[in-house]
Amino acid sequence: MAVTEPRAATPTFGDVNRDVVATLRTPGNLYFAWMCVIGLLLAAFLAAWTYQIYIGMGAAGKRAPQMWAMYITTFVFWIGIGHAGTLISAVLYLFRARWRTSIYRAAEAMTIFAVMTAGLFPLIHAGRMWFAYFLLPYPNQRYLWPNFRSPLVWDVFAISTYLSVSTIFFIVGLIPDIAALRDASTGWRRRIYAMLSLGWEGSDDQWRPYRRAYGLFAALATPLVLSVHSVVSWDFAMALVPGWHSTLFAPFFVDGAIFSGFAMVAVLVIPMRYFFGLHAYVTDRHLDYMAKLILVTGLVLTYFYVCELFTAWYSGDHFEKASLFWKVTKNYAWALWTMYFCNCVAPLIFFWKRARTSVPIIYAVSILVLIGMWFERFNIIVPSLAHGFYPYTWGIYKPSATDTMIVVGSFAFFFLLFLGFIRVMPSLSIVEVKETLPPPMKERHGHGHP
Amino acid sequence: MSAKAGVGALGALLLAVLVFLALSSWSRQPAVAQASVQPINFPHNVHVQTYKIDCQYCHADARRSEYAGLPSVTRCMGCHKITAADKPEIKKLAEYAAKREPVPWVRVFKVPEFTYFPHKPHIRAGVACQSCHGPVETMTTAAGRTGPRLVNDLLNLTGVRPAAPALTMGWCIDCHRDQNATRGAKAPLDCVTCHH
Amino acid sequence: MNRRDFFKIVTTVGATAATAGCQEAGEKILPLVVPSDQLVPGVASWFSTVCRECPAGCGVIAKNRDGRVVKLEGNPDHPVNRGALCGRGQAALQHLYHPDRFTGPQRRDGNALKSLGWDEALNTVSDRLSQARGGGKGKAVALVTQLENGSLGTLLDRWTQALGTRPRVTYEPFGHEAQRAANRAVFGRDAIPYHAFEDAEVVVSFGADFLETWVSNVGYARGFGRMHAFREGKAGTFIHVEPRQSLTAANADEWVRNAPGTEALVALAVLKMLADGGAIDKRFADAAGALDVKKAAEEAGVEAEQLKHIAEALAKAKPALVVGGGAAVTGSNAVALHTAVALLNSALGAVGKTVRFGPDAAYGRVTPYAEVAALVQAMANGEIDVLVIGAGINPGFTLPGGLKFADAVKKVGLVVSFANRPDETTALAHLVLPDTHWLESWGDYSPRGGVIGLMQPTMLPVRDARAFGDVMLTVGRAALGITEEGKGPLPWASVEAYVKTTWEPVVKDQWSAALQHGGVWRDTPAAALAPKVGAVAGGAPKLDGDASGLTLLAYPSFRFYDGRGAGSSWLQEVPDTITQAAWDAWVEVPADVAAKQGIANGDVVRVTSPHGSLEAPAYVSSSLHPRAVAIPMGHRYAPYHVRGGRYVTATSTPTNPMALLPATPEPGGGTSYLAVRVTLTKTGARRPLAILQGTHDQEDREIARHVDLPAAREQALRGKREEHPDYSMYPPQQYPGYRWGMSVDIDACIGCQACTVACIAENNVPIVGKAQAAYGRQAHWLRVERWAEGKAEHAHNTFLPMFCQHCEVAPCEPVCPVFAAYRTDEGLNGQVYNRCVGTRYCGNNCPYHVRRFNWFNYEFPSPLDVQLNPEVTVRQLGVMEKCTMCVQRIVAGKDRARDEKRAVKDGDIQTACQQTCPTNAITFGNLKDPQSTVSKHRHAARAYDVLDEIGTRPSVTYLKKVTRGGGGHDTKPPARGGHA
Repeated sequence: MAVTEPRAATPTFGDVNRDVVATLRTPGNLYFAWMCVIGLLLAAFLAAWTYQIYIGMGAAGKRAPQMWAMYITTFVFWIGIGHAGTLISAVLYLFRARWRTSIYRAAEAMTIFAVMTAGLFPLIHAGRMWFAYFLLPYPNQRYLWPNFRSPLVWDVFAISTYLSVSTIFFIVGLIPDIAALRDASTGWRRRIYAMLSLGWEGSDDQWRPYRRAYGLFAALATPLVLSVHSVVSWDFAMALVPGWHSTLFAPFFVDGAIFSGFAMVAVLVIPMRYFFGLHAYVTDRHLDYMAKLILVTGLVLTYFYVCELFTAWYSGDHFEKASLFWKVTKNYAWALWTMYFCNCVAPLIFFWKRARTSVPIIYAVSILVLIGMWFERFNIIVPSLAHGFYPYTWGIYKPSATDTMIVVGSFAFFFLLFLGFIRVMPSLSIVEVKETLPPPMKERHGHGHP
Repeated sequence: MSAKAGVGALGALLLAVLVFLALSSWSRQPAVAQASVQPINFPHNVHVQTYKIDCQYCHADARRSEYAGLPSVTRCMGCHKITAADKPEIKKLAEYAAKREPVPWVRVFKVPEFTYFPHKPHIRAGVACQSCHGPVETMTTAAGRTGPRLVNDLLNLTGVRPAAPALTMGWCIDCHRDQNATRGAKAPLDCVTCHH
Repeated sequence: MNRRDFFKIVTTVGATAATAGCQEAGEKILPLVVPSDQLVPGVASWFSTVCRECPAGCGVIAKNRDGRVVKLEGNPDHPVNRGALCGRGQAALQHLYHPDRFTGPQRRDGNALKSLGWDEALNTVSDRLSQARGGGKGKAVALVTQLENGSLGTLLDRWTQALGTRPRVTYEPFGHEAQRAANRAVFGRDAIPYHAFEDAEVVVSFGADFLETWVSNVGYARGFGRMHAFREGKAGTFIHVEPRQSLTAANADEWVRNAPGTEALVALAVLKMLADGGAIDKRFADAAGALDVKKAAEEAGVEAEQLKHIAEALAKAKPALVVGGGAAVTGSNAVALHTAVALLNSALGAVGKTVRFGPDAAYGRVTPYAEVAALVQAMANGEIDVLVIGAGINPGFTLPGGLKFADAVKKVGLVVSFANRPDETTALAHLVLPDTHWLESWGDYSPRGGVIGLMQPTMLPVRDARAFGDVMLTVGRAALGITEEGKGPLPWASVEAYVKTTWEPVVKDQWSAALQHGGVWRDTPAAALAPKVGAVAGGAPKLDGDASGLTLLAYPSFRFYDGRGAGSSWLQEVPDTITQAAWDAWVEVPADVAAKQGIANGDVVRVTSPHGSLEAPAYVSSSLHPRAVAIPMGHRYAPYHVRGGRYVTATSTPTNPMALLPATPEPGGGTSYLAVRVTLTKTGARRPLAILQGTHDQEDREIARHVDLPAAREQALRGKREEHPDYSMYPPQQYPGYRWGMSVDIDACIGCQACTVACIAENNVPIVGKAQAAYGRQAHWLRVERWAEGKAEHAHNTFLPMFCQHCEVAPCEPVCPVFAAYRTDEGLNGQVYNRCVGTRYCGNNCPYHVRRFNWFNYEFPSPLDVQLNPEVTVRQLGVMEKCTMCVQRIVAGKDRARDEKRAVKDGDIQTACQQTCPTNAITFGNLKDPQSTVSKHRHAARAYDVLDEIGTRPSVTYLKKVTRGGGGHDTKPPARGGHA
């Protein structure tokens, strides 16, 4: 479809090097201001966690019947975020969607950091995290193995696999660019980049196996996009709790993950483009595509919501119906309706092209989507548990200072990693961007179609 | 140099994981009692080998209680009023008896925390004391290697069994399985038998 | 070697025998100094004695492990309780190991108490006494004790005679004086008969809370269970008349809610109807005189139909039993009520059958409150120089506010208290000589005629304390100027010596046998008595306070009795079954009064009577009579509950309804509890109650099910349980050895919470405090739920003990990542604490929500930690726990069986909850043995599984409640909104 002119003329190979290396110059005060805020939040996070380990899980607001609450909510949220990255880099790569090139690096970084953040939560959540190694299958003098029937053990495998594969894929993608940085930098930086570039010269006999490997990793990573969040969804789907026990969950979660993932990409890429002046690479066309993806996944999600409500009602299951009715009308209704608004209504605005290309609107909607998706997980966990099978224990969960600090701190943790990354590594792929550009000598024709 | 360093980094990460395992596995295990700090130097070998005293003569509760039990001071004095009364160690014993104070023995054998080990059923099943406590009759001071350790885990990994008596869970299980298989014993394998 | 040395030795072992899991590296292990024939370290020995938590005097056996008592159980041989024990009895251990117990004697020093040596303390007393005697002021010495009708009592009486003091005053807050007065008038017997509930067919109670505190609650609950619970098609009927839906009322097949103070009227009306109907001898009508049934019914606020129904039920019954007069309904017309009851009983021919004079209750020996009041008056007049207050009672707390006891005591020269914990009385005492706890003491007690229980020390005193009697002997001799033992009127060295001399002729050489049994008992024949019929004036009681006020119903709490239980954190955290409120005391406000004054649950209200006032949070009740306000008695916090906000934050305002009551006794000479009208005012403050049950409405989940009597009878004959096929892709589980299971008969369960306390005691269940309990973090492995159905103001209640169901297809097991929750070969749902990582997934997935998480490391304030059961792990922070079916008892039981080279028999193993249940509602056994009681229950027609449609296949079977029709019962599927 037709797309508005990019703000900057199509850059040359030289521009690319210049612009990308420019992102690595000593940052300004704003950046450090941000880092200070993050540092403070992180300190609070660590303090809260230490306190919780010391006096016990009671520090967090959990209770019977909500044995799980905000920790698992936020865990699933971050896992979800960690999806768009691999989708963009691997799947779009295989489909040769070339517009991906300028955003996939940031998206991949986001993926890995998101999964790392998520990875903290099972530890934070466990009553005796110092025994978390019981979940690892290693031969021990107790002759005990983890319970392979437990979805939590599946999680351990799913997430660790996903993290390792996407990390390797990420590193492989970085190698040529690090080499480029090595050549552009001097002194101790140069030595470090030299080490990380694993001796890349860009010679022809390096490129050929490199391309093949990259393709293979892409192929390997693709199924994981589906598997990981399906497995995470089974933490709930495999349990009995009314509101959890549903065959719908796997696709439902995967779609939601991609939905929130793209929102997060937008939230990260738009400021980058603004501060680093990358309008030439991250064009409105990219934003337009992302907006479309958010719209599509949003509509699919809405469909899943409808199915969820319908089955709950149509099944005639007393407990399911009671739980649903309670969610929609009672104490936590506000959370549910927030979610419906953010995830179903807000994205609809992207039916209008002007919205799809207006940065403020895209940004606002993306933020709403992130909020909505956090509440989606909250609504699955807390209200369902609050109104389970057994009326005796029905009760309301109240967040405490501790778990609030930890949840907020997890965002700080993520942004620390991400902001750090974009300062030391090329946040868009020099090599692949160059590929999309017309080779220097030839005369230019418009903007290269994908 | 560069490529190697990169690989090295990954190696370091792996090592870190192992270290975490080691620490967390080790951190919460019971400590081994020091065999040397007993208030009175009691030579088992003399009592058992030279004087042919049966284990349960002194550890009389083993057959009827959870604890094996230690001989009361008066029971010790029963023999030691006369026997070797001039020896310095026996003099210590006599002092305790005179003061009507118990001898503060230091615990040597200890199963891991949160575990119930009742002696009675083992005696009833005719298990020899040595099979858990080692060849005490040859020891001048009783000492047992107790507690599960990552060392043992790693020994398992490499197929080397930890030195007996390990007093670890796996070691208990081995014996129970073996007894059930060979002697048709009814040694329970339910977790809650020992952990309740 | 005598017992005391034996304990000295043992306790050295006990002191170091740390509970599993908290052992330190390099710890010492101490052998005995002297070998003992009585003791094997690590093996429990049992000692029998008598429970003294209330005057019911149940037999108790104490489990002594390594020199410390770790558990109490009812004495199975004892005729009063036959092995059962109430929650208060179970919790006596917490008073034995109470952190507040005095170490040694205390002297008043300003507001504080300072400790001093025994000799000094004793000299102070004896000097004072000899002065008094010397000055010929013997009568200025007063001795007040709790009900002591055994050796100690006679010993103290000899003491008073020897010293020429005032006769001993036996003070019990609930003395049943009115009943004695009535029996004097009607039968010429100043006694409280034995009520044989077990032999009755129909029981009608006019406000007698016999399932809670009335006379002998465990024994009567047993009797009630046998009479009422559905067994082989037989089931008795129970009708209860009371303005408040007490626990007893909630157990009635028909609860008649009358206007406060009209029980006598109702009783007389029934008597008249029976007489007019010709069911009983005409002459009994004289008692009712010219009473008009219609008017009476109107005045009592009940329908004539209901009265007719009561009369018919009584007329049919062979035999019937009528009881009356709990503390809550004891007002100026209490004697009239009891006279009417006595007449009803004799008219119905119950006397001699279900009402037995002969085995009379010990209460008959209580000094009437009127005399206590007179003594207090004497104090106020400065006639008393020395006041000795024995252990067990707390007059500073339990005497009516109108009596101004605190002021009167100020006029007394020397006040000596023998309480071993600080309470409202020691706060007024000049000298405190801590008595040994009854579990540390020698003695005997006769709960009723023909039954004498023997008390022996079950362990060494936990703190520096001396037996009340021993001290009295010493000071007595000293006051008489006798220097050594064996001389004078008080020659005995100690109570122990005295008990042995008094028992010598009784038991001869059978002493040790008697000790083992816990006493001697023989049947006492019931006397046949002719009634004296006279006119009874069943008018309304005299009430102080303005007529617009609401009548105050001050009733004894079944958790705390008169306040003796309140020191126990176990009893504090166990909820009151009806309100499900733990920890705090409350004011029960009728729903429409609350609506009018805008009072909500947890609003602090001020209750004012002419004699005093108190503030407490409100509990809005839709079942309480609209003209009444109800406040439980006995609620107070021990210092250690409040210290550092351990369990509760300090509440300055007293919640003791006694403060609202007048000094004047009722005509029978007892305290008049039904004597004031009160006014409510909202203070604006809020103190939300810790209410553990989310809702009393089952929301159609059929958790507590019932079947009506005819249907139950019909099914019982057919004897088939409705089975649903359960579909599974997996082969059924195989059980090579035993398969353990339990059954709960919710028709027998009376909701007394004894099981909950027993479970806490047996399994080292931590106490979490009010705030945590209110936030759904209570740690009870077993909870007694109340499910209400039908009209809110007349709800039909079902009590359902809920604990781990040990499901065959347990939702908690597959989700545990580390096999901490797993299925054992014997059908248990095992929970391995040291494997648990604390993901809490099992807690979410358990449909019954019976899994408890250790949110913190809970403390067992010293010396309460000494009580911890060494056979059960003390759980650490971060692990999940739950009912284990007392797996430690199963292991022990199998061990015993192996010693005897046999299989475990039915009844060999009893869980703690089952053992203490007064109505045998809980059963444990082997499901693979078709002859075992539990498998019979499992296949009985009434059997069902809670939430069976989920298909968890529990190992715990429930037996449906059998509804008898009548008041407020609907046997149809439950109607909505039954919140009481």
